[in-house]
Amino acid sequence: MKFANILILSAVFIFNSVSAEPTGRIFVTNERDDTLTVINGSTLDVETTIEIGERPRGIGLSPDGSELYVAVSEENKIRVVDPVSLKILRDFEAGSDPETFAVHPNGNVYVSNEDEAKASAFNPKTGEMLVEIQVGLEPEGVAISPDGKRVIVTSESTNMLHVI
Amino acid sequence: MFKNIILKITYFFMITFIYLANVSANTIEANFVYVGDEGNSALLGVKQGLKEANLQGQFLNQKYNLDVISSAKVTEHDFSGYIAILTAVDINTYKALTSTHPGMPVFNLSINDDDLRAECINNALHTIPSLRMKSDAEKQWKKKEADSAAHAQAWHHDFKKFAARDLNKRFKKNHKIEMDDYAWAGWAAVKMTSDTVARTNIVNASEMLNYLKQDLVFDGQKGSNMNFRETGQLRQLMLLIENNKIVAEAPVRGVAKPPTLDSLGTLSCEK
Repeated sequence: MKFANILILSAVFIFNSVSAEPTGRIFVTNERDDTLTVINGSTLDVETTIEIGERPRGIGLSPDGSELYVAVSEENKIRVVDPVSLKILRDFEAGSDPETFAVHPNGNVYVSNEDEAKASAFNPKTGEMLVEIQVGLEPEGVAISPDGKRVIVTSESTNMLHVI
Repeated sequence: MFKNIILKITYFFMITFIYLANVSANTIEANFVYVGDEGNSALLGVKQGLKEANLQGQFLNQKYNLDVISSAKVTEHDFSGYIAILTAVDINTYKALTSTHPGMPVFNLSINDDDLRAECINNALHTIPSLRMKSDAEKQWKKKEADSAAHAQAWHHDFKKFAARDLNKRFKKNHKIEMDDYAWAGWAAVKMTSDTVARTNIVNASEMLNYLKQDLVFDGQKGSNMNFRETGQLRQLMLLIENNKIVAEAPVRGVAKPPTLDSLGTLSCEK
């Protein structure tokens, strides 16, 4: 177990999901290694590391916990993984350079497209792009209000929050 | 890229709120002039800064414009109405511009002369480092690595910290060459001015000069603590480069005295 070699970008704790079987796992994207590390949430041992795609960054779960989404930025896609079997189910195009994203309570995914000064939204079941919005330079974090009415995107180099 | 997908670009349905102080609903225009050679990479940095300023500005009803003139045209050009003059010129032309337009910020993007800093010209703003800053950085590094042949630069295309990676990436994408010291100096001059307009709505040149000298704290992808000395020099991190690779940053930890940006360059004005 060499944590020193894992460049951690983000982690997702999966406990007591709403309808899918809880896995208790911690998932970490490793941006420079192109991998996804799977950690046992109780023992904190690494269960396995899987090849996930080029420059994985943002990570998130569907509202029912049945699907894990990983933004693979260099491929301009979001990859969909089964959090139980760890099988890659599918992927969909997610705009240019998708970095981070947030999953709306309705299941749609709101993405920051870092190198295009844009944010976009997708239906992760069909891959359909729902909307593309101009935001400021180097959009980074995305958050969604608990009632789902507002999406907030930060633009790192224009020092702004965009409330959508 | 999305030819097969029906895009709903919803500008009309988008509501964007901007959480900044002093937001004005009226359109503000700020005009820059670049004086110098069109082939100088400083101008490319200025243009990059301008593009970004206008991207930010569209959310704030702020618009930035740039005029470009050669040194030869200085005496006949009308400089009224500019928020700042950006220069990549020889030292005599630079000094003439500062004295002819005393209330206006005159950015130096190219001259590294130490005496120019020591003169403490009131409206001089040097975003490019001085020779002394470079030699101080090199001396610090040599105390740690006696055999090093590294030289100091203000910027490098491999610099990744403080979101430098993103700046290098977008500069190269737009201009097809690596960002160098002059381009960074040009970009920084525009960026700090436009950020000030965004925060304060200042469009008057002498108010801008005052703000930049007294109140500015600037990130510029070199750390969040840059500001101007009494000499008009922008305090900044320096990079030590060997074989075209970054080997260290200055102030060099454990060696720099004081252990701050003021260990690099002259601080005082000549009497």
